[in-house]
Amino acid sequence: MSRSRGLLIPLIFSALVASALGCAQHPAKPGDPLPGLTKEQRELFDQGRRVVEKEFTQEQGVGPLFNAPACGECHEDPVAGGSGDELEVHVAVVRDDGTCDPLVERGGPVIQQFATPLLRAAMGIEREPVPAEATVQAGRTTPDLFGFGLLDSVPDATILSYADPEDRNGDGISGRPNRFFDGRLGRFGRKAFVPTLREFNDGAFPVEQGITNPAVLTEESIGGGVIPPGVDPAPEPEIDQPAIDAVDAFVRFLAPPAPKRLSREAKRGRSLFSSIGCAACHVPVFTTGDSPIQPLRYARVAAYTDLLLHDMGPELADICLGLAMPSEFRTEPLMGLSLNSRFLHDGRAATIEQALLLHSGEAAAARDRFKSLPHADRAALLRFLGSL
Amino acid sequence: MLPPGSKPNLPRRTPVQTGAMPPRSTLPGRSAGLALVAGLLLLFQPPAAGWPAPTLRAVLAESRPDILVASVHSVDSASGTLRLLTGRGHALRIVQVSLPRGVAITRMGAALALSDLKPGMIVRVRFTVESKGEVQQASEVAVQEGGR
Repeated sequence: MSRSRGLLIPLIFSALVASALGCAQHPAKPGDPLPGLTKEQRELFDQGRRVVEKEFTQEQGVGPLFNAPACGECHEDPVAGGSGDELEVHVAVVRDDGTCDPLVERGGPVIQQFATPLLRAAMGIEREPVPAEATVQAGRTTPDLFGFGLLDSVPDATILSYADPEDRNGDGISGRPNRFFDGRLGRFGRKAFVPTLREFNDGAFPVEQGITNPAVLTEESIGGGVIPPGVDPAPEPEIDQPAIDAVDAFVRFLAPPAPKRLSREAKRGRSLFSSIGCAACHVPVFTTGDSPIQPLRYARVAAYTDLLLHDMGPELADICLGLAMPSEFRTEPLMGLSLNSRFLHDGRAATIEQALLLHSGEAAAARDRFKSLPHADRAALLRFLGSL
Repeated sequence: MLPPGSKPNLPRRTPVQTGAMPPRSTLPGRSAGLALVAGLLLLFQPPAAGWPAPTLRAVLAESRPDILVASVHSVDSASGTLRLLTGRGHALRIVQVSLPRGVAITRMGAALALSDLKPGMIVRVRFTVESKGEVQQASEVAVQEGGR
């Protein structure tokens, strides 16, 4: 008896200590790194945040055209890496043969909204001109980057397992993958065009800030034309590999914000989210694959997306990109939804409910089921979405 | 929908300021990579006057250095040139490939003419690369599945 008591007391003590440690690990706040990073990974994350927050000058490489002089100028709300309400302009042409031309020869697909003082002086332009050939144009708000490293670690096979382009199961949902120019599965961007987070980050520097880097050594063109001499004073690459590696680490290691504690009403809303069909595209949970980064390895992420393209109807349609046609958009991840102040790809919705009601195409049936819910159930579902 | 370029809630738009350049580090192996890119640029000519030089280093970093996989943007059979869409993230570029006479163009092993290549097709272009990293010529074009 006394021997068993002697064993029991340390066991209980250990359990209490473990419990206390668990409680000490607070839920991730916006801008926190993933828990479990090594000391070196954490240092790289902190270095990356400093680069993200750094405001570059034209002498340091910004421009000649750009959307912002710092990553954190747009990815700012509520912290660096968050969302933003600046509106970018993207263009494309849908050809008669059904192919998509992103108008690269005319400066597309992203039309930069600002010119450096040197470019303004040389060409007298305030921004890149929208190509006359563009048949479709889009506005794009800045997404938050929380949890993107986890999305990057989801195996292709997992994403493809949700694809049903011919709607063989007859549920009215026919998600299909987008693919980059080389055929690889895309997953980042509102059109799911970019295959990896690394490429997404590498490409963002020249497109958004006009900053070349070792992976992209040429500047964006000016409406397809040459850059006048003397307006791009910094030699290429304008940011070095260690700096861009740090930025990649910062974005990759950003934790998804912890969902708020669910009230009884919100729990009911979570059930309704599934029962009316939202979860057919906004798949609640992904599990990542193997990764050399421990916190990214076989981790569950409540992303609420399938990373596939879905037809959202003609009202939301804008540009094409890759295989994505104008009305097709990637299912937007809903993790961190409560941190946003504008909704949908172009920020046209001021509330989550407005965004939901603007769903159409494949989502029309789920939207209509939402509209037909009793008021209390609609409130419960919105309460749940507001907890994400 | 918000007007393009607008930032309704936070109107701050910081002007570009002058400042010191950040320190640049020397990257091991970078010069060899740049030499390879320079070699490829000799083969891939910008398609029209005024076009910025294409970026290929990104593609090379992700794949074998003697192979480019990209989408057909347009074909000029008369001049024997192929314009390909490639890039990194949303930084998209067009590169122009001049195909020497007699270069094999195939799909699933079957021979194709240059004019059979259509926009949206994904092609795998193979090059020969010297030990110094300089590109010699395109030696093979194969259509891959997955494009239009």
